Amino acid sequence: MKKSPAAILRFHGVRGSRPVHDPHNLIYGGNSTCIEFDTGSNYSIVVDGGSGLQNLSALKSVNPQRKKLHILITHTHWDHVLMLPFLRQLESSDFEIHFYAPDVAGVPFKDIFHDLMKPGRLPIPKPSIKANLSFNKVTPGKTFIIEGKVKVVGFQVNHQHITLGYKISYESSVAAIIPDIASIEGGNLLGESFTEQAISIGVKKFEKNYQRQLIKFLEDVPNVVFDTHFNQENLKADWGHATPEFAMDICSKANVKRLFMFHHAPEDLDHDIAKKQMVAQRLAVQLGMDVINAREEDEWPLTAA
Amino acid sequence: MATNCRMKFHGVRAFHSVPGRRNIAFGGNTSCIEICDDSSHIFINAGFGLNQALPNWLNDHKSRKDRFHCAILFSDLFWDSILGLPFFAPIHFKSSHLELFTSASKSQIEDALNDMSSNLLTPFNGIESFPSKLSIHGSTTKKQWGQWTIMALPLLHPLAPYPLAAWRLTHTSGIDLGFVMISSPDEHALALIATFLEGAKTLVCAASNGPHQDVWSQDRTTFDDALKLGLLVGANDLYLSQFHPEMTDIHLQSELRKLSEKLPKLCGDPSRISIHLASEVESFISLSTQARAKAG
Repeated sequence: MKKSPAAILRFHGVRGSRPVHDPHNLIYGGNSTCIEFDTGSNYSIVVDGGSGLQNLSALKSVNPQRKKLHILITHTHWDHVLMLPFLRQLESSDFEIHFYAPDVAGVPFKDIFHDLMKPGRLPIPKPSIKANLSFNKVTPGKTFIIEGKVKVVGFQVNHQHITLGYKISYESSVAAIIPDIASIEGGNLLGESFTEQAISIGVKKFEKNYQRQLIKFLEDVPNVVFDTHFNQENLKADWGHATPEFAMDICSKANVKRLFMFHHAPEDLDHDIAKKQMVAQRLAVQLGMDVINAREEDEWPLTAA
Repeated sequence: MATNCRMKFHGVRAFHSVPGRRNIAFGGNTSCIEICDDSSHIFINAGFGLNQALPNWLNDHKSRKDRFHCAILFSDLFWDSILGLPFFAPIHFKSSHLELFTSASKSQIEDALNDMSSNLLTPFNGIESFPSKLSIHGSTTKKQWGQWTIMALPLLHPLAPYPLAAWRLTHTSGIDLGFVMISSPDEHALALIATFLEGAKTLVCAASNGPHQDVWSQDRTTFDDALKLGLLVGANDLYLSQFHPEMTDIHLQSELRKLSEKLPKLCGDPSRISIHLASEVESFISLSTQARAKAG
């Protein structure tokens, strides 16, 4: 008998930079980053609170039994947090929302979250927060457990400030989500404290170490969601994003079996994204890897490797 | 008089973006309207709709390198009216000049834009980090912009510790436009706006109520308020915009039907006013054609 998967990966928002509505991007969707790791339990785990968060079933009447939401924040750029102040559940006393995020430039995520609701900025009456909120600081490399069963560990990737990729494990299901990330090669040091570390041990050595650690972080993870905002023609490395080629290079070295390309550029229409997959597929065949464009509303059972 | 004046809705949503299939007919980007003639560009608000404007600008700019100059008039400084600005291609070029107008003071708009583009929330570090020239004009009341005269009416609103603005744009050709992107629905505010915009032939007004009563829209004008205002102003064309994110295509069409049914009761001659739902899908609306058609 075929064993049913322990968890499901569900894409609620797959765009980078900003949400975009366009009649020509309805196949892949226009909401910014939000990915659900669904264990089928009475709580929800999502990575990031971009505009895709509005599609989470736990926030709608279709799934009223889920009153507990765990939100892992990769970093605090707008496309990853802009839906948070609009969460209607903030005002519900029978809802629990637990945030997990690193401090950014020494500022705790809690302060950044409350600043999103500053008077005169939020276009709705400031929520009177009745939900039970908790703010949990994430330290890269330090594993933490959600609901006693879901293991999560963060890894600082090469993007502005502190940006974390997350590896999430539940029973036999494992997935990693690598949000905004750029190649570090050529001294493209974007992450907080990367320059200082590189100065202390030498840039080349730091780049090599970082790359090795990134590959180790992803080693044998069967399902990886990876930033592929750019392509080879329009790559701007200092913007902090990757290409399918970079994603495939890292993932093949880490023995990843299934790569989801996401953080699609807002300018890319459906046909651009489809073309990106066609180009990637040629290389993927040689590498023995499945390469799939992440698409809003798609869900993928996370089978074991 | 041929003016080539035109208007395009790039973002028709209030509060937050709602990309997706349920909003195909009218759109899901936050607030932005483009108004232009042959020599000038004006935007009302800089929500994410702003990023749908000038789709070929970057390519054209690479080949022609011409200087871009525009005015952006803000109705308010809420996130849904300003968040498109850091992603607007011209702001990243030294040769661009963006002039920003509000009823709020210069320091209030600077604070809002610096919050929006802080290095915690963006890859930038405040408005100083944008290469383009930004001229910030606070407390705007009247301004000449090419052949347009721009006027602002400051409005108080319970959510804002600064004045919001209703805008009136009149063109030397006689085109006369009113924009009420956000306002309290109370009688006093509506009467003030009606006086300010009296005679404007085209009115764009927020219709921000949701399908159900909710706190988000309690301080906003509804579809009914917008129609009332359109009639008070004496507009020939009323464009409803700033839709609540939960209002799908189906809801919006239903609201329009309801308004059309109410119209004969509200005014003896329903042909006095044409009611339209603002749509991001529609191309530029030719304002000169409209003005001539009405005059005829």
